[in-house]
Amino acid sequence: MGPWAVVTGVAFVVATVLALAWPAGGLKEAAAEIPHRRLGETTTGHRLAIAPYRVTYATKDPAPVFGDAKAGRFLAVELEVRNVSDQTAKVGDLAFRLYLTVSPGGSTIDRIRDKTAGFVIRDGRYDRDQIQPGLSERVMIVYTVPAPLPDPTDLTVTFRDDQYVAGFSSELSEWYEGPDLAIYDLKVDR
Amino acid sequence: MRRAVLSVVMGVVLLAAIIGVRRATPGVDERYAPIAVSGALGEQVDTAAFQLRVDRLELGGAVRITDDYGLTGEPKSTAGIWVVVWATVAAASTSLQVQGARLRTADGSEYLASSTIGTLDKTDLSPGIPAYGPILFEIPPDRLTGAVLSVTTHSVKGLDLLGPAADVDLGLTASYATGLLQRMPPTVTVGPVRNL
Repeated sequence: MGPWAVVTGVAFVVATVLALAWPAGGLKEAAAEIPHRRLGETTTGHRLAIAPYRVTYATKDPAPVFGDAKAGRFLAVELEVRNVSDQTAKVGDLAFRLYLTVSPGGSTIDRIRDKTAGFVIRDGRYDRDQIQPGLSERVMIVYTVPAPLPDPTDLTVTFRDDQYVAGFSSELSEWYEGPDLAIYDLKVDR
Repeated sequence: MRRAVLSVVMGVVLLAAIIGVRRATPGVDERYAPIAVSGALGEQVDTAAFQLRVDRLELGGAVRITDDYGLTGEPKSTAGIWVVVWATVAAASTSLQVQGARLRTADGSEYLASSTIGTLDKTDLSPGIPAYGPILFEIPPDRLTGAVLSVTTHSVKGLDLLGPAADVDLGLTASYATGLLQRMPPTVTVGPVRNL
């Protein structure tokens, strides 16, 4: 076996490793530890930048659609949100990337099943849900607290990033879930 | 030895060619993008599914919407400015809506029309019956210059693959946009959509 065969073999192995590693995300270093943040601190992702400014627990729906507010157990998360992407986003897109755990008990609030409303707070009304590129909005997302859970005193919100990439369900680029960006440790007001 | 060097050079050239071809190949988003017909303010744009003419545009710090009964709603403010595009649209052969109305700004951002109801993009269009009305956009004021209106039939891009589209140059030169911003009223009232 000549020296060129060895060189070719080594080059083949290196090229194969790179060809497999590149589409899988390259030879990146391990992800850093997810930072813990407090009320008012901003976290910026690829689509949205958020800064929670209030979390309240209420026994009446804080955002009734029609008529009087119905009684229940509600958790309202209010955030300052800026769309840092180049496409229109909705409050629902943000809600889909927030993972909530309440204390005491450390139980999860289901971000889809337990969400009752999500809207932009503007002009004292709740009839808008778009967040346009380059603009900031005050946003409220309301959840019901499931019956077996005690009244929450603390809330942990994990904010997950969005990435606009060609995906698996469709070849076209869409917003897909990215890595966790921050964990907010928040007190629940009454 | 010379032959081996030649082989390595050939390999490098072929690798560079492969990389070049891959980079030059349009991505899937470009290959399946809607098929757009271009036009300008005041011109009729004919696509396979609809005809569109942008008649005028105005700006406002807030909008009030007058419904079909002549009742005018409360002002809707914005974190940016409202861009009101007045246009006439007619469906060509089948009923449709032009829900994919977007304002594409010079930096590449795309602003989907406001979800506010009662506007032209939320109106059912019957073939051969033109409708005239407003389409509302919220944008930061510094992105007005160079903005282009792009109209398709769906608000979800994945439903407009290779579909009909109209791109309308709104003529927003820097001086024109500045003039519009200087003359912008605090509130603009927009009337209901009318069938012509």
